[in-house]
Amino acid sequence: MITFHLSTRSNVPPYVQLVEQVRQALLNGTLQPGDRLPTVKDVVGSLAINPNTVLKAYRDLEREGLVEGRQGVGTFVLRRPDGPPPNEQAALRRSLASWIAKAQRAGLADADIESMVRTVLRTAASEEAIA
Amino acid sequence: MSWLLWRQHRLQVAIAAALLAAFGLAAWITGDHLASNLRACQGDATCGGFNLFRGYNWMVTLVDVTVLVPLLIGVFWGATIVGRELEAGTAILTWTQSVTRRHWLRTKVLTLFVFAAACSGGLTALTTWWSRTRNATVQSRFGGFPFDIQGVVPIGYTLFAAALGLAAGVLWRRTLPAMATTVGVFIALRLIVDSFARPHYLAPVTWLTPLVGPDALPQGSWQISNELSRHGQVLTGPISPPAGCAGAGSRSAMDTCMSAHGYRMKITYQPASRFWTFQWIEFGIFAGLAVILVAVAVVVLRRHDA
Amino acid sequence: MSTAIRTESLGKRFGAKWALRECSFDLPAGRICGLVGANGAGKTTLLRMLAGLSRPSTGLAEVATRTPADDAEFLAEVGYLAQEIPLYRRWTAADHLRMGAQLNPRWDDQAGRDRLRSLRIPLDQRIGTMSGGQRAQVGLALALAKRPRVLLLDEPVAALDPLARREFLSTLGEAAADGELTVILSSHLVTDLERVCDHLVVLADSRTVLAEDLDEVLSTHRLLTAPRRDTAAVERMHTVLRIERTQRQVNLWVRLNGPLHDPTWEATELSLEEIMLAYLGMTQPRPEAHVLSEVAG
Repeated sequence: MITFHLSTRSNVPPYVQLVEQVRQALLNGTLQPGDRLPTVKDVVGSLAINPNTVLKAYRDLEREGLVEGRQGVGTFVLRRPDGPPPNEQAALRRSLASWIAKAQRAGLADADIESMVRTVLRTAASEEAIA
Repeated sequence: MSWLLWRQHRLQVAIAAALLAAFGLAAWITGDHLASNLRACQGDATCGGFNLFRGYNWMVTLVDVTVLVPLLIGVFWGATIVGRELEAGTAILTWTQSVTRRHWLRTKVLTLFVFAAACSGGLTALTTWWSRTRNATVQSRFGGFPFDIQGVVPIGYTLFAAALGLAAGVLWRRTLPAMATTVGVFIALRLIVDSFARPHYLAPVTWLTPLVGPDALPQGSWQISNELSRHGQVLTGPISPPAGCAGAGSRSAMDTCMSAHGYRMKITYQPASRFWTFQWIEFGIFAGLAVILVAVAVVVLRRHDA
Repeated sequence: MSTAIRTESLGKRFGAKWALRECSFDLPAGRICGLVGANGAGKTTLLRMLAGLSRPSTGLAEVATRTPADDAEFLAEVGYLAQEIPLYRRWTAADHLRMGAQLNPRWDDQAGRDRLRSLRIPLDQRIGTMSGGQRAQVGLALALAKRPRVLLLDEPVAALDPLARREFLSTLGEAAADGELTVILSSHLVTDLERVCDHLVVLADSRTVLAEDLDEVLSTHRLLTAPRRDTAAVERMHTVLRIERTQRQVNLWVRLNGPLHDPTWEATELSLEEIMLAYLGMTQPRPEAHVLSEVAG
């Protein structure tokens, strides 16, 4: 069973954080298809957030086809999101960690790192659009 | 709401019941003894009050102390049953647990009065029964203090004090000012009624009696005033004997002489037969005040926001 | 019931002073609404009127499709927890539950007991010996056990430590999870509001200045920055909450009423706290202040 946590300092809306945590868990194998996600009540109880936030997150996941809500029983995982298998995920994560360490050693603050990532992503997206 | 009231006041009920039972026991035992002592010494010189009541003075004091009970009920039950709840905010708890303010107040008022009347009624029955011996010997039950602690007036006082406490609690919404107000107004009103109103419920009877001869009123009457008069005029100030009596030797000779000259004792009093009439009139006054105060409390609480 | 609470020009006056006026908003059912305002802005006054404890001087209110009144049917639909959390100090939690069972037409005793048990609050301990957080939980359990449709909470967590506050909000959220309960919760703490509320009502100067879904609030309010210039164009189209001019630039706190056409304005997202401060700092609410409950879409 996955346990959620919320970062209040992050700019990312809570429900998006929940969605991302489910995706991450699916990608690195913590959650498997067939597993049951925590009930809305349970998530609200442990995080003290609004039930609608959880509902929105689960709806989003349902829309992406990753989970399925069954009336009276719960919300169950259907499949993994498209992406690399767990061991490749782990490898990517490790190289990201070492790059971040390098950037920090060079003197970049966390915020600078984040905006660098965002800029590069944006550039990559527009390059892909052109290509 | 009955469980709620019981849970809130069960200690008070227990204490009141215990005190009443203890008093009842003391009254029963001593009252019995005194009555039989009185029967035994009937006509005997030893029936003088002090002999009769020797050893029972503690009970006499206890009975007299019951004059405080109406005020105590007013202060500790009347002023708190609503006032305490308003002060602590627990009234809001009950009101938001689906009890309307109307129903809440009605139930509280009813409980207060039924309980106060029951306690006072029980206590008064005991004091009235116990006082028979005193009434027959050392005191008149009609005048002053003894009037206050037997018959029906104590119940009237209790209802009034309870209503006063209730109204004060609703007005002030705090316990201490409510209690203080209850004490102040109760004492003031009792004194006023006692001194100024009671002698005049019915027009007193006037008795002109010569200075010699009987001047004692029948047992159980209430003497209001006792003045010297001549030819219908009340005399005040120092009295100088009339010319013809200057040479009188003894006191009784002086009295005879003055009587011959038209001097009389003017005694106004209330006859003993009027005792119960007066009791009910005074009860009516205080019970009527109680009703008015309850009405005021209800109106004020309804108008005011919770 | 689609609208849990509706008010129209609701107002309350004490003598010559208006504690609340021109209060109008709609609250859809199932929401957890945060009620925000400075001290004395009228939050308690509003909640007491909605609970039927106080009569309005003007305007109307409708709670759970009924007009607030001192009658048993209405009182059964609405739960209220006053700021001081009034409970009988010498009683135990079990006593209070027993009282509730006696007084309320609908009462879920088992749920109340379970809730307190799961919070490890002993049922036979005197209230007077409990901590503030435990008392708040008992108060909440009592209010919830009567199965109200609407729950009004007046700053219930103001005096609690962070852990007690978190637990209180968790309990509240769990109770609202099935969507059958609508809650209004007055609070000062922005972090709590952000977590647990999905709707917001802001009172400033004893008036409603904002009444909207939280997502809408966050997505429509922006800080616009530009080199110093005339702001009339923006002020015409959008609702400006605050203007700050320095020597070189001008900052506008706005609620966007449509797309921002002028690309020379730099728009940054505002945190909920900044948005609230902008509203609370408005001493003279603008006539066009937005008080819709839901913008279409």
